[in-house]
Amino acid sequence: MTTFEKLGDAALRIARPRGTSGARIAQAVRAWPGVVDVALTEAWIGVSFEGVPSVTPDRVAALDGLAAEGEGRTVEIAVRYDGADLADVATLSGLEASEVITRHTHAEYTVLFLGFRPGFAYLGGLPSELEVSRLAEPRVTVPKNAVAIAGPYAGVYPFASPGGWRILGTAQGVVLFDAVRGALLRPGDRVRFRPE
Amino acid sequence: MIIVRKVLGLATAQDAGRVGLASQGVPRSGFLVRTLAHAANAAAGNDPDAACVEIFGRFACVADSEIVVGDDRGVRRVLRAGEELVVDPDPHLRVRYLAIAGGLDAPVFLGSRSTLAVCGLGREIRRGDRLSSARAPVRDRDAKPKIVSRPIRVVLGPDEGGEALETTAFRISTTSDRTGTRLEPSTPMATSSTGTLPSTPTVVGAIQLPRGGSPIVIGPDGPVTGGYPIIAVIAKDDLDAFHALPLGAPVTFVRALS
Repeated sequence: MTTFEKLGDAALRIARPRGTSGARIAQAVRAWPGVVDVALTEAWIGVSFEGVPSVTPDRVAALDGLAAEGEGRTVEIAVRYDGADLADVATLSGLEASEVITRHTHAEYTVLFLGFRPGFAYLGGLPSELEVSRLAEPRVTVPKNAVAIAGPYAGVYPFASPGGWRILGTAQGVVLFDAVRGALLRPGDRVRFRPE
Repeated sequence: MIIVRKVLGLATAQDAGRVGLASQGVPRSGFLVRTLAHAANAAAGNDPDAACVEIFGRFACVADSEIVVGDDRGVRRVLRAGEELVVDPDPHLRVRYLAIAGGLDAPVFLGSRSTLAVCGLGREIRRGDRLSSARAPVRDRDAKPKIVSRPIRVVLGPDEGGEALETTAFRISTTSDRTGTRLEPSTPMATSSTGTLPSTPTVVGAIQLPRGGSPIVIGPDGPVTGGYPIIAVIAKDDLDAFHALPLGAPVTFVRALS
């Protein structure tokens, strides 16, 4: 049974059923009465309401039955593997750098949610042997389009920003966040990286 | 049109913000203190949520043709060509607003004129910028800002540790900005020893508690998800009172009756 709790007096935080498509969740929750916005993470759904938050238990329960697959697109992103942390990731994972690249590119990723910055997608599907910790000291500036990994996630930085993920390379020829079109990657989309 | 002569601090275009894009990672942005922006807009005859200039610090401009403006005190002024206007900091307020009759004509990105410069959604207002009216219809409106000073009400949770907010004295840190307001506790708050939590959705007014024990209140430009526990959330009706507090001011919290 999915549970929910107050996130202030204008929003609820609801446990996200495991393995459900972010696209399907967002679509279902937006259709609830009074909902003005939906924020996702891997574990939670944040639902903001126009007035006093209110949702019937059956609506929340219905989220459990949502499919794992959305109607998401597949987005291919070309990567130049020139990242500052590639050698460290190889050391940490006990693999050759070339093998890190091979495994990073052979995985298929799913956009679990977006956060941190507009257009920053948390990608699930990173091979477990590439799971590495964040940097102990985050960088003050991670370059725009940096392709990086941390914990179970892969991602691409849409803007130059502070960040603690380990950088494998640079995405080529993509705009991850556009001032007119919004985020390139949406919950439920699938992502593949291709070495350039 | 008005021409910007000087910005000491930060001036940006803000309106009610862009709501509905959190699942793309896009924060709401918009007025830090809605009541004050509404007062400025009312004084200029605008819709409450029309875009206006949000000012941290000092802002000076000159009119190049006759134009009607309003400020957050509800004062309406007709500027003649060549007439100067200075908006000075108010020691009792963190932020001030200047509205132009017809609304500020800043570019619309994703449904809002609110600036979020770090993501390329507009840029801050600089010296030499020419600010013009969006020419929306104006009419006489009642302009009375109401900021009530009182302990800030919070809804505790959803994560653990919020009870201590009621028994701790805080100051608004001078390192605060539109992404977040940092609170300096008289003594560091106890933090959970359970390590990091999975990322959680945030809302404006969410009080995060990082391991250092100094809380951060998510602001309108703050991230829509975060890795720190959310120990409480400021009541919606008290957000303006909280965000109006000047940097360095003391602040106390009480539990909202629910």
